[in-house]
Amino acid sequence: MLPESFNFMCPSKTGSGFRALDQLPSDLVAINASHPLIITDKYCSGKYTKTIENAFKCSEMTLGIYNGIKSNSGIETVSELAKIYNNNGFDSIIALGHGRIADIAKILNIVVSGKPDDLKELAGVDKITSPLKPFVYIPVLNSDGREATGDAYLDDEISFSSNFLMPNIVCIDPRIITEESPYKVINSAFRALTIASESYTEGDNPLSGAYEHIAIEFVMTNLKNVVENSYKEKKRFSKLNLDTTESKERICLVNASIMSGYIYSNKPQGISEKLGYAISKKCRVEPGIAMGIVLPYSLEYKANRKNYDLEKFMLPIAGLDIYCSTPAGQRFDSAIGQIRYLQNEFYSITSTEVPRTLEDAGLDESMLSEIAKEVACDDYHEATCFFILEHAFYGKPVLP
Amino acid sequence: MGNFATLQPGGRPLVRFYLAFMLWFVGRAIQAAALVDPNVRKEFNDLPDDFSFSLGAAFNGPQMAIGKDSNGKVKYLGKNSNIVPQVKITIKSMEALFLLFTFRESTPVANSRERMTVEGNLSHACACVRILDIVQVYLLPKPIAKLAIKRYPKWSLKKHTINRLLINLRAIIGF
Repeated sequence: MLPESFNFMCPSKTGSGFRALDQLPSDLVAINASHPLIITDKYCSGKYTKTIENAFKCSEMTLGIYNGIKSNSGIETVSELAKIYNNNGFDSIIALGHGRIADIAKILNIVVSGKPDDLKELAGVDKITSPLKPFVYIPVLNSDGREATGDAYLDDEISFSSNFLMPNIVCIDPRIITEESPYKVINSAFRALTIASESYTEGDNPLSGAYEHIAIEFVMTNLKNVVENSYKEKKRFSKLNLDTTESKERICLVNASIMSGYIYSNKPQGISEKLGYAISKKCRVEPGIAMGIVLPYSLEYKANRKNYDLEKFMLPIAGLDIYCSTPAGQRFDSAIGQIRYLQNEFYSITSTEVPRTLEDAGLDESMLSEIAKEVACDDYHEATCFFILEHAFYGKPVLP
Repeated sequence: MGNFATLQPGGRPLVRFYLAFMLWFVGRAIQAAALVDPNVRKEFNDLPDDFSFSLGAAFNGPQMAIGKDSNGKVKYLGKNSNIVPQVKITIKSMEALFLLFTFRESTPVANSRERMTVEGNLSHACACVRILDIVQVYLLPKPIAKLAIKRYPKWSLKKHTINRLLINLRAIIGF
């Protein structure tokens, strides 16, 4: 049903699939860019520079590559990059990698598009008022989708949020999406699943709904296979990345992550997402994994205590055939069961590395009230947050 | 600055040579097919007089141009034609054109993957693509031609033998 009003903004062009990188030079020219600076870390530059170089062959473009991004890179790195960018006459930025790399690239874009002194003034929400330099993002398998959003974090104190920070082009190429640690893959996939599911169950934006549906479907269909494959004994020539089924499954997960980024840019944060970030600050678990643990309980709370009709949630989770063959009254429980099944499977496949409950994650029970207090908002009061956390701690379903 | 380097990706001389040769041969084959094949002739007859089109790769990649004069004669105009073509089909990269001419991707697939741009009248561009498809069937053996086009046509034995021989000969000799 068409809602009274809705908005959806996605300024990014997504190019995905076979030899997608080869089109990047002409896509750059189309947005008036011909001299890009690639920002990455040592790991990605060692693995993928040759592929990017090959994609730019015959393009008559000169590329700059900076591979000094570290997990603790901050304002000094941005200043160094700004000097390199201006002294060498670059006109666009390409971020290759995940998280921190994209953050630094976005902040560099603010600096080189205006005055470096403006950085602190432009921190906050929607303070950037004009388009920035062309920005391209090339994701890897453990990209969590935040890279495709309009958010960038310099440190805990300075963050930026603006649609102008979203990449102009996102280029997903199978040659870049190679195998990664299963824990990292599950982390980014669960983050995508959480954002998409929370938004889908609100169900008030048909355009966003299309992205949500596909993102959930991609994660539910492909995540288990990708994780299982990473534990299988490697065949000869596996490094050549010839298995197209495996490659497609990985591409689906990255697409889901990127779509979750687009969804995130158009919706307020959901409760599972907020709780996930808060939990990850208190224990050793990654935010995406924590979100995945909390998700079934927050959805059950919505369905069983707030009386949301979430029967349709089964459609992207299990597909049309299973949706149709399941009685209406069982659909929501069945969908939640599938998410729980996935989590329990990962717990055993990864030899308990991926936790099923907050207790498994090593969170101290006494922290629950602290987290609930931190996350509480108008829609979810402290008691509600505590209720969800308590259930997620013991793995106890929220019953009607 | 130890983390910074500049890369000059360079070119692909062998790929460029292969593509230039293929475009040269396909260009001459189109000229020959316009004389031999009634369908190609009809397509060209329906196009306006002094019509020309080009096919090539972006970033100064190899090109070919085909023109039709006021008498309706179709001519391969070479790679560096000074004529501004009415329809310009550009493949976004030399790699994409290489995929096309190594028959790993058909023209419709390349189009659906956004690998080409067309400048000019779209219906004329469609006619050009149809001509290219017919010529590819003449030039390539059936298993390879099937990869290059959407649907392999059901042709008479004469077309498959005499016309094919004539077009290949004319393309090699160049008249």
